[in-house]
Amino acid sequence: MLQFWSTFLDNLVFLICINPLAGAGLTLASSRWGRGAVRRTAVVNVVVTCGLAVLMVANYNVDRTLKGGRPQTMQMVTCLRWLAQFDPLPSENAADSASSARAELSGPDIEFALGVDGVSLWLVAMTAFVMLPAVFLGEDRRRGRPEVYYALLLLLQAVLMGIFAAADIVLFYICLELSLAPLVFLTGIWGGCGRRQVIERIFVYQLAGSLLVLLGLCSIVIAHFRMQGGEQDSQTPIVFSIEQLTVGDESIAGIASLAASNEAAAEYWRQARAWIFCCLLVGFAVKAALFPFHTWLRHGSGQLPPAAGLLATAIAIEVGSYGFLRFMLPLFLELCLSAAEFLSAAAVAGVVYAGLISLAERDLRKLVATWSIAHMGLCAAGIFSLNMLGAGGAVLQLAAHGLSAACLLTLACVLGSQFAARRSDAIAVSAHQHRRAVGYFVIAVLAAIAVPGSAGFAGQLATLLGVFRGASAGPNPVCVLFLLLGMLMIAWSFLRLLPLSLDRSTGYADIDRSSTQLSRSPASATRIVDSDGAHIRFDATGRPPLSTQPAGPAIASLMPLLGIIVWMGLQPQFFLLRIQPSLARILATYPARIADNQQGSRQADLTGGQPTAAITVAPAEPTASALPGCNRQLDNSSSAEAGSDAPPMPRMEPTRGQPAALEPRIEAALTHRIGN
Amino acid sequence: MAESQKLLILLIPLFPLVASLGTLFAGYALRASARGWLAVIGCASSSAACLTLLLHIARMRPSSAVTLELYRWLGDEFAFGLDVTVALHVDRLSAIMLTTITVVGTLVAIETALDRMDEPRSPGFFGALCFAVFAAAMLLLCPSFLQLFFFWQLAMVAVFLLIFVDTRTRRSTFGGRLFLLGLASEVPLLIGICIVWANFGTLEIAAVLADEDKLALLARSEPATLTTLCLCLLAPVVVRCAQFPAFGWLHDASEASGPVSRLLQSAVLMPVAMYLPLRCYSFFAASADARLLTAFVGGVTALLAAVIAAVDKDARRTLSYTTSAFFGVMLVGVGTGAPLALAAVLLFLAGHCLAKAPLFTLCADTALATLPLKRPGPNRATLPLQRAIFVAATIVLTSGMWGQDAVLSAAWDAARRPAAGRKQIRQQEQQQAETAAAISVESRGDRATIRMFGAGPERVFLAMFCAAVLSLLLTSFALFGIFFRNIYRPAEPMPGDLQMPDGPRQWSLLPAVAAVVAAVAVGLLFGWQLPKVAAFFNLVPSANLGSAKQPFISTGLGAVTMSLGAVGAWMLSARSATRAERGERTFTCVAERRFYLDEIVRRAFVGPLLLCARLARLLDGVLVDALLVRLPARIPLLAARTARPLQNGLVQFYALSVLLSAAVFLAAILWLRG
Repeated sequence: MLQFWSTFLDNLVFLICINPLAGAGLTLASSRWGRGAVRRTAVVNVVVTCGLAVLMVANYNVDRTLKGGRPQTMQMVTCLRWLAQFDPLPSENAADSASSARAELSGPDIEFALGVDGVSLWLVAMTAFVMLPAVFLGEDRRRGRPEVYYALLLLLQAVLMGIFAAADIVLFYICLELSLAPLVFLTGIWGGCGRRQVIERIFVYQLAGSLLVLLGLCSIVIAHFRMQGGEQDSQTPIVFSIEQLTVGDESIAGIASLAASNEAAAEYWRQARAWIFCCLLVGFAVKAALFPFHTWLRHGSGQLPPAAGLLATAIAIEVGSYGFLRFMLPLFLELCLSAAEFLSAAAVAGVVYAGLISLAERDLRKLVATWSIAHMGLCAAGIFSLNMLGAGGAVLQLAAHGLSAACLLTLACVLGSQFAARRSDAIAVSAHQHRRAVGYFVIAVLAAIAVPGSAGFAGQLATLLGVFRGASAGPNPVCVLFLLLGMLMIAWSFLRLLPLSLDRSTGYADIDRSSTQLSRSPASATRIVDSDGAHIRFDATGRPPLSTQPAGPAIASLMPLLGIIVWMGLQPQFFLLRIQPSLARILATYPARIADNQQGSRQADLTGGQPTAAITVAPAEPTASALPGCNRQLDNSSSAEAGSDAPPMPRMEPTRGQPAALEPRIEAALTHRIGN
Repeated sequence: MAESQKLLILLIPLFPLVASLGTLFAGYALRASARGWLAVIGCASSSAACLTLLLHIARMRPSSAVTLELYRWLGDEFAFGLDVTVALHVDRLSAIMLTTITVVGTLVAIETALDRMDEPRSPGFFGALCFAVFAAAMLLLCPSFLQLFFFWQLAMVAVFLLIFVDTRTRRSTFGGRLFLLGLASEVPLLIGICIVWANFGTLEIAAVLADEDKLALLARSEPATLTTLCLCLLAPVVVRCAQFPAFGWLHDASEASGPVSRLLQSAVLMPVAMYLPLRCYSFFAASADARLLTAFVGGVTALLAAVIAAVDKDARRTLSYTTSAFFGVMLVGVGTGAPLALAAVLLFLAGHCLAKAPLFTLCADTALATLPLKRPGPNRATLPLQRAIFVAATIVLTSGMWGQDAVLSAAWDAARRPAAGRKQIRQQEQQQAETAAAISVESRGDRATIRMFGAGPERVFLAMFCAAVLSLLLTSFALFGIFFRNIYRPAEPMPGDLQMPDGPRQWSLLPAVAAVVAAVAVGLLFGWQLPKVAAFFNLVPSANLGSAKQPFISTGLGAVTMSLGAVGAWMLSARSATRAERGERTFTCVAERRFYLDEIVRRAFVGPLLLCARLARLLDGVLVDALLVRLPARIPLLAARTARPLQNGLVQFYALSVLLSAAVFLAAILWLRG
């Protein structure tokens, strides 16, 4: 029994990702028992996934270490061989981890590998919980085929989880591409009146982004292969493991380690990395709906069916930010450092631009989409601040954004009548019919604008402090100021909505007064056409129709989400403690060191040359900190113990333990900055 | 002893929090008449804990404090040594502020409980009331700037919720505007916190303020940074204390119901905001420029708000603007930098909190539900007790003995400083020329370097002194105007068919009586002992208090302005309504539109911003979307349309296409080969 339980826990991530797929099959099979059975099957499946997600979070042990004392960040890993070339000689230390098992291989090593580290842990859990209101929102009964609707939703959930949990680069890309298909079918069958244009827009645009990502990922694999000397040695394996490619492990050095240890590899990487960087940057920016690649989300969100819109706005756009964290930071840290000012400026411009647009937005779902674009900009600014606080805050912010967006969109659908009116004016009227939802709506709006005690506050504060600390150029108050201004404009947009929608004195008569921009359709006195062409249908008494689904379950499903939002706001340390070791592996030590040096020199100026105690505060990274630079330090310590166990590297064998070699140009620039 | 103190600290916010949650979740199950008493018990228990703690702390050394750590909110492993531990910290300043806030909160809760016995949705309101008291208490208990930022925002959220759950408040714009202004003012606050972090390496308030060497170095080497820091800390205070130019929300605030107004202006919003400059006075003390700007903002607000209060006919709006004017006078006191001014501000603040709440009670009482007191005339408040309360509260606020005179005295001293020490300044200037730069920079701490409208700091302080005197005169005029118009005057017959409501319940005025008695007692006990008050609260270093004496000479100034204001109000309001109307018209032309500030802000800032927003939206649809989405999407479509004729079923066309493709492929390979 104990053995079974242990095996169950070890494969928990696999089960979480597979469960929605099984649920999709069961949903299709249950169609013969009617619509209710289909819905119940989907709900049960989603609830089970949430339970597994809770178990996953509880089972994630931040203190677990590998043999060499290094923290085991990637946990609950399940590896199923898919396309691999076996080496007949077994490894001597095959007991440790999956990575050791991979040492038996040579040639391509593509696996169905799933697992979570501190970053993806929260994104997978968030995806599980966000699905709750999505499935409770229900489908449009007038269009039939509920089993297909729920199956597609569950499939979308599975592939989104797969993206976050994928430990193999091929699986990551497959899930990335697959996430488009359910979205397109859901929109095509259950979307709004302009769904065809939206499908074209989303599909073409996202596909273009995916192709750029594919190009970048393939280039990474090829670059790693060539940097290992694979062209000369036929035994060199082609590595597809994300962890091995990016940060490396005991058996295989990552790209950064190879570049730092071998001159030829470094030269190759120096030539190739700029193009790969650009491909991935643009590809993930499209996925994250960052300015100026954001229009697919803003213009498309209004036409997506409620649940699909919820998943697209709350989760799908976070894939881009996750890609930044997973691939861009560990592989292109130096490029990120040299382009930090540009990247920060672009992110800040996006936030301000989204803030401006939101002020002119009257469609609530579009407003939420715009708010999401601003949040992704904020996350990007945090990620590219290249320090622990900014990146950790960005991860927290990603989770907070997903939860808040789910709450907002659910309530927007409940209050604004799912398939008819979405305008704030109509929501004002619906508020009279859904008094219970009004309280939740206020809380959701407050959480969205990151009031204290909500997850957004903790995430935004950490991100802003990280941005203020900056990547290398020292304190950056201007960026923080503009980010705050952008977020302030978003908050203004939401606050303009609240008095209208919640004032009890607002009645149906106020609709006519407040909707001066609406034009009465001459054909029917009970129909109003808004500026986007969406019809707000009123019943015979002049009131907008109610939601086609009972609002109670959807509102009740928000309870756990709001609970998590408050928990994250009050105790962010719990989340950050689990994020920290993984981020430490992703981030190199040198930006922090540079920042500390700069802080030290600044304080030394103030104190007349003597650094104070506050200056000599320990650097951000603990002993576990790593990635290119720190990873090498860890490898150093571990290779001292287990160095003899490490398999012999092919021709370009890296000499571990060498300090990270910064590019001379960057080093000079940083020295210049510190000197100033 | 230490354990009991820590328990008391914990209980101060815990009681209102538990009362809030209990009222929200169990309130609807209780009898209607008992719903409010849960909130009363929570607030009263909290104020009892505050009083006990104040007595404990009064026996300790002036600089001592009690801290209770709760849990780690953000660990230093992430934040470059920034360890944010949620803790509760009490010293003498925060203890007296806590006592004032919770006592006023309790009195308001009692009044509201008596008033809203039969209201069906009262649990929501009482829950929000307790939550607001909890948030204010937590703000006063903050040991670090980051925690302060957290609860600064939370206090605003609590006020926002309080406005929204109040069924008697017309919330159309008030809540949203106040909340948005509050959010906007927190932007500079966060920037200020970042500046503190960058320069001091920690965010612990006590540690930062105790590090005098680093503060002196900052003032010496980067005075502009220090001034910026002070202004960043001042900005949220300006918004919450309704100071110029951010007092637009006050006009809407008068639409709030009585308890909300009382809580906002006497407890959880404005007085708590004044805590920030008092707590962080060390920064202001090191920057003369910041002090000058603070005094300028306060003086301008005091004058403008007093003028508006004097001409406005709405009683509650008048009371709101007098609050703004009084807080302006307090900021003048902070800006003077005089050793006694801070003690005077603290005394004035306590007196204001205790005396303003009864005034709002009486005005809410006289303002009929159907006829808000927009014009002089019918009222039902003719009882002697109400008259006595009103006059006593007005005397507390305007007579000068509750710290106002000391503020005026400090402003006068600041204005005539050059005459007294001209020789000293000349010597300093000579030293600046002769000695090292450090000494010349050090002298900046004493004398402001900026000039306003061509005037030096002394002239600015002289103007601020005049503004404060005028403000006291006009606020006295305004408050006594309410008295003579609405309370002193006997009831007139109601117009039309309106019936006079029932008379007030005498026992419902007991909290107001208690508050006024407390306010009078505070003034009588401590108004004569300002140096001791300053030493007790450790507001300024004791060395600076050496020569400070009670400003007896100026004590008469407040009394004179109050008397003049009362006489003026009596002449214009009590004697002849026609004359009053004529007399007010001269002010009305100037101030009835609040100096067109709202319009200026709307046209200069909001309008262009919304125009930019619409332009950005248009740009997003027309340009960005067209260039980056629709155009790339057209490319494969065009390619497909071009190739479409090849699919006509004829073999020769297929052959042609194959040949063309091969040619393109070959050309590409050759090009790649170089």
